[in-house]
Amino acid sequence: MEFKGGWVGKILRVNLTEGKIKTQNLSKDLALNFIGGRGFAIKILWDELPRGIDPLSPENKLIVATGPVTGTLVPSSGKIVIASKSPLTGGYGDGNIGSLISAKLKMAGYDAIVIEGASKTPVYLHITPDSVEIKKADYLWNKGAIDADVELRKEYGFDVGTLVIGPAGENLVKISTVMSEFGRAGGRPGMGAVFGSKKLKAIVCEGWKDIPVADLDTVVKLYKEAVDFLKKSPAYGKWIRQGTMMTIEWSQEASVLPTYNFSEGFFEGYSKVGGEIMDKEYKVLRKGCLFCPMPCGNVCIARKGRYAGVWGELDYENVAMFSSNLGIDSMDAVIKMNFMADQLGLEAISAGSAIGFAMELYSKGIISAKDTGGLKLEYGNVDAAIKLMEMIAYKKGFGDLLAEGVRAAAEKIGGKAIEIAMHVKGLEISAYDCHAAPGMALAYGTSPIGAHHKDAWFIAWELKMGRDVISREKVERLIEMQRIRGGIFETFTVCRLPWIELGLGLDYYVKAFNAITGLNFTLEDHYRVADRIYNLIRAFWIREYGEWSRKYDYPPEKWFKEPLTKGPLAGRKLDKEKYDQLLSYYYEARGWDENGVPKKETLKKLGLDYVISELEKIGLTLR
Amino acid sequence: MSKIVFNPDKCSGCHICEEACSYSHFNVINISKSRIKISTKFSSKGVVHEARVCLQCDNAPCTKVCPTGALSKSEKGYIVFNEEKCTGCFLCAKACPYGLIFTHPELKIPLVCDMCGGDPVCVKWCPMGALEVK
Repeated sequence: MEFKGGWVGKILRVNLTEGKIKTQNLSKDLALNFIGGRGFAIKILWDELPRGIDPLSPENKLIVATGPVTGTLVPSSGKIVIASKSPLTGGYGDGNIGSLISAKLKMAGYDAIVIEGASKTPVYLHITPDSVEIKKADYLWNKGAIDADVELRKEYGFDVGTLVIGPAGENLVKISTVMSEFGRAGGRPGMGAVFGSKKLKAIVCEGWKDIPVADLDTVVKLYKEAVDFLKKSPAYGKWIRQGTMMTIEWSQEASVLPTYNFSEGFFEGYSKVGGEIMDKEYKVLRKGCLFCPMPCGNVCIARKGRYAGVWGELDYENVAMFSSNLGIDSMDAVIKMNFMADQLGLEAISAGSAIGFAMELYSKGIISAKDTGGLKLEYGNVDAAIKLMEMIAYKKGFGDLLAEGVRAAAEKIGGKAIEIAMHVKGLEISAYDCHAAPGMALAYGTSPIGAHHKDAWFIAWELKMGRDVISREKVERLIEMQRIRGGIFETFTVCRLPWIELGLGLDYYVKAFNAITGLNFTLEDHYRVADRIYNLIRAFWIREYGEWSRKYDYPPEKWFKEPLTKGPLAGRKLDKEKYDQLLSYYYEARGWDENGVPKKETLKKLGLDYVISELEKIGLTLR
Repeated sequence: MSKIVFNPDKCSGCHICEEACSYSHFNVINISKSRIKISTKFSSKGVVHEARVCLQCDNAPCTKVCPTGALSKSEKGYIVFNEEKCTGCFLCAKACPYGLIFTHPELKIPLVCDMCGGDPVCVKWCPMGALEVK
């Protein structure tokens, strides 16, 4: 199909086992029914992955996908999705990353890359509009993700796009991610390990072709209006100074700042690791994604103590997980840990969760220094946390257990450990405590990759509605948010922050999409695509797990059993009956049965008839 | 001589200036066709934004070596590029002592900043105020 704009119209296929490279046309079905990014990824994985394959085997496929809006003149459109069957969760996994490779891939002539098979020796992929080469990467192997990226740029310069893994991905650590451009990360559910399993150290992409759009003058006009709107927002000034880091103070105020492995939502030392102090004492440089007029990248330098001089790019999730969640109240230590995670290619949220989990085990006497190789894993022990992070990335000693993620580690330890492993579906929870936020807990519970905030940042909406409200309306608002954050932004693929943080209207995105593609989609059309994707992702999980029940959509037991003891909400915990009520409302609104399995009628309405027979093959009876 | 002056402390590395340039000169979305280049350089020791753009030299060597007069200086002292006269020999790019005349794989002309005749679009589009005419 010829596209008027937005899509380039080609998918690159690379088979690393055979060393073969193919180009195929982007089909009309994929473009119009799945749009891009996450939509491409789930459709390709659903169609092509045999059920039950080992995610770290050559049978798994790795998808790197842009969308029709990527790299066009839409604010913050420099995003790209990395997806695969997740080695961490066993279900569908993806992540997005803000990196120049998003636009460069389209400028090289491709909407997406599908990487199949596995190389025997370390390689990287070099893509240009004229050539695609699989090149030797022995000299990059064992290098940190930042160092390897720099090494590649000695040859290709700083104007190319890259995706790179660190030692954690090489070592098949399941909480490893993909990095780019010093501090950018994407692919929480073990996407780094999928790269590593294919012996793929990096992707380098040069691009120089025009990015096609149907109506450029309208795109430019809309862009200028959007930038004017964003810059006039009352929140703009603080946003570009602090970015997501302002959420430390906000979360503390709302008692949702993850503290001591999500035992509390309130941390005494929060102001030492917050947005204010970062802005005043640590931030040295702004860093933004492509075409972003509201850059949130906070490049900081540690100032004090033995980590003085270490650089790092900070954002809320990483900082909360390395500070309050571990009882650490030193920004200097957090910068060091953040830098280490980025260099190791260790996924920072999951790493913070794994270390917090180990610290709780230690504090409760479930493990001792005997188990940890002598590490005294008390809360607040920076040295132990740093040592443990290295042990995870290199699978040394106790780190080997945590490298599998907290779900698998807890199952091995057994007993109480299972209740305090803070994950949903195997993905560690990102940085919002939900003892007193049932809607946010439901958002994590139903997020399509496991407990990640990308689809699930419902907390602010929930606080506005009232945290104690248990209603259909709350659930409908959550679904609306999933359609927007997990649908529109993940398929377009652009950043959600201009919308959620500064209020850029959805009507802008719909208009821009139409000007770029020459199509005439409504917001409802995009919601339908989002629902199609959500249902297909759910079907993928069910097919892989071989069964489904409500338990997979529950948050950890800790939030139901152990109340908060600190802050204004001390005494609060989640109520299981109320959570179940919300979950039932959710299933109903989604057209799923009481076990969370899509009904036949729902699948048919979304054009997913082919899913029915696939799920019946594994012995499920669909309602 | 006025030229585009870059403030790295304000820049975020968003490349919007490059798009402003490509759009205004070529009517496309393609940052690689820009006459100003922003690079966010990094190592494990830090991060910095850099800009490369013509300095509008007084005795510009590029105008001197151009065999057809395609490159000249305007009254205001800005580089003027006349595409009709250009043969695509790229002697200008070789002559620039700072490497600030760029090439593009699909274009047979040099990419050199002409200050948009005095009111550069990149400066107007930069959302961070990192570019100025001075």
